[in-house]
Amino acid sequence: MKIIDELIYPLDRNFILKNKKKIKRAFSKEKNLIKIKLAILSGVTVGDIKDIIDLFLLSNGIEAEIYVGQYNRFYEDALFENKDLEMFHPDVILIHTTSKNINFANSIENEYEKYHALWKHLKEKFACKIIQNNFDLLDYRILGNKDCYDLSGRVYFLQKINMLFSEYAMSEKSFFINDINYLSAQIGLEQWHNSSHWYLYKYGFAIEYIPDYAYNFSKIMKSLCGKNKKCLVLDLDNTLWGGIIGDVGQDYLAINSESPLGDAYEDFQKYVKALKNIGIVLTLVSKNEESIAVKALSSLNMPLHENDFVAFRINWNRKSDNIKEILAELNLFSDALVFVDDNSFEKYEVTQSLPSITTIKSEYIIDFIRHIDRNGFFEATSLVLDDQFRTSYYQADKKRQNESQKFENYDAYLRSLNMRSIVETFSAKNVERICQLINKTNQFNLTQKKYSIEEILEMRDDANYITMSATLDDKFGSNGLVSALVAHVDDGSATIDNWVMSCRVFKRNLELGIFDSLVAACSKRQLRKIVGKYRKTEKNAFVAQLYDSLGFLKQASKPDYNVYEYFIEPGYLKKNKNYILVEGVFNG
Amino acid sequence: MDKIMEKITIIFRDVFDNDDLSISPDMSSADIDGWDSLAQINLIVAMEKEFSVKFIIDDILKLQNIGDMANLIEKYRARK
Repeated sequence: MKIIDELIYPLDRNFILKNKKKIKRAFSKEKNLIKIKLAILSGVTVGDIKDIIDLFLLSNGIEAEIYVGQYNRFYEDALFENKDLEMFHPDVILIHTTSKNINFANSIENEYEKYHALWKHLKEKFACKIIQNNFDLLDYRILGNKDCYDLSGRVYFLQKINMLFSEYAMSEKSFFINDINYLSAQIGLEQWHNSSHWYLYKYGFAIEYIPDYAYNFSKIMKSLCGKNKKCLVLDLDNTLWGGIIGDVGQDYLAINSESPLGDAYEDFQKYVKALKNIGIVLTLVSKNEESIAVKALSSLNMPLHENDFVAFRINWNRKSDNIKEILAELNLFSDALVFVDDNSFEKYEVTQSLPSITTIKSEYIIDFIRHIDRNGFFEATSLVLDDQFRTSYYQADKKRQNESQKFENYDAYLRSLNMRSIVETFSAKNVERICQLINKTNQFNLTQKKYSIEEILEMRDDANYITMSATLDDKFGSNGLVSALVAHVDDGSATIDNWVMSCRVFKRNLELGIFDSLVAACSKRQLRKIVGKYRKTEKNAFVAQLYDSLGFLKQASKPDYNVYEYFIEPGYLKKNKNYILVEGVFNG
Repeated sequence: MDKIMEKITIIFRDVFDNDDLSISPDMSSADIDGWDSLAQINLIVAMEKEFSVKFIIDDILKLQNIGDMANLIEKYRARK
């Protein structure tokens, strides 16, 4: 993935606006982009916003085809017949409105109902994701301070309607808010509002801040497309604590409120810990004596502890080499990493060797929280229970790795794990996790086909589909829901539309157990043939031989994918030979 | 005035993404491909930034060609 410095916070707004075409050309050689159709319905001028959104999406590996509705026709475009929009068939609709679109003569409830009706209608008609701007506060307050606590106050009106939008978003899984209320506060209302740009061009906010708006919106989009960062790589000295532990010793580090900078380091650790709690994986790469650093991590009274990190390399090797080892250990790619270090030389060394890794544009503790936060690396569009347990999953993995070294024979090791799996039809309680898994898995992903929550629910209820999800537990702990498979049935055969598996459970033979379940489901429906496709990408070489290894025969080689077939023999022998106890009875 | 035209030329080249574009005072939106209302906005905003001026709306609405733009910039700068 190409990283363009000007598109990382703090944004070079002027450069972006002036050079949008040049920046776009820089992305022209990017491959394996996710293709998506985005419709922007206009309350206020869209204009350049379209092009700048395009740039930020490209920088996240997303190629958007963008439809722009007519100026200030969002309501009509959404609610009445609109052939163009219907033909376009959007995956995502952005409703680009601001407080300029509010009719303050209406009651709050009536104004809210206008939007609510429109969302409901769009949902029924397009079954796509809807992203709605909430409202920025106005540039004036007729009642002064009382504007926020008087029934006729406009500050009160806007805050209340924003709250109603938020409540709707909490109840609706495919509805998201582009929080321009926060964005405008971040920029400052005096900068955000620009009367000339409004009167002359009907832009809802100052043109200068189009990049900020586009960046904010693109974070939601890339999160929905599974393009969030997954892992923080942190340094220790002058990054997580103040001072160099090898010089001053652990008792003289700045890490608590006894000193101003100590306070800053403690706050940064708390912020990092909060990221860990929403499922971000933490790792450490530090040039230090391992024994000294680990002792400090386990004994100092600070927010982060040794066991918050799933992997660390504390030694004097090149940081890029250490990071490559961690990537291999965690089965991650470098574009999933954010590297934070107080040393610009180290940042340079790492980015030279790993060009897809992201760093922040500051080496100073005071900036760290703001820079990580503003870049929205970990934008949360859906929080799934699994996220909170991710660190413990990786830690159980470490125990497994230690255990595996005791066995000479890998099969014997696998059998010693006492693995259990529940394989079942997609269920409502798992639908969010299934959606997340399918949309963000890169390595064990056979066709790259993605699904929305609505599509997943439809397939579950459709007799022409076989759907399966699988969990994996063992004596070291649970891995949660780690695999999903979708197949459609026609003409006596089942075709696997996609099959994904989390990289956490590679090489555990879970695919054998799932395949057995698929065969059982097919047999029950009198299907004799299973068809599989493998579409090659930069990241899924791991499963290039999957169908061969399961005993499929290659049927056709197309330019961008291969087709395989498997015939179910009457005396099918299970491939999962006592590796995993498949507990859930699958009744597909 | 020549200095202003030089800087305006650079702005036009940026906005229309054409490093070979040459402009003259009598040229207007009819003479340059892609000079639509959106490009017009970007030109104005870029000029305000480049010359550190803020045009008032009436002046912007009166603009007919590139020469008008240069004259307006000169007028604003003289006032400073």
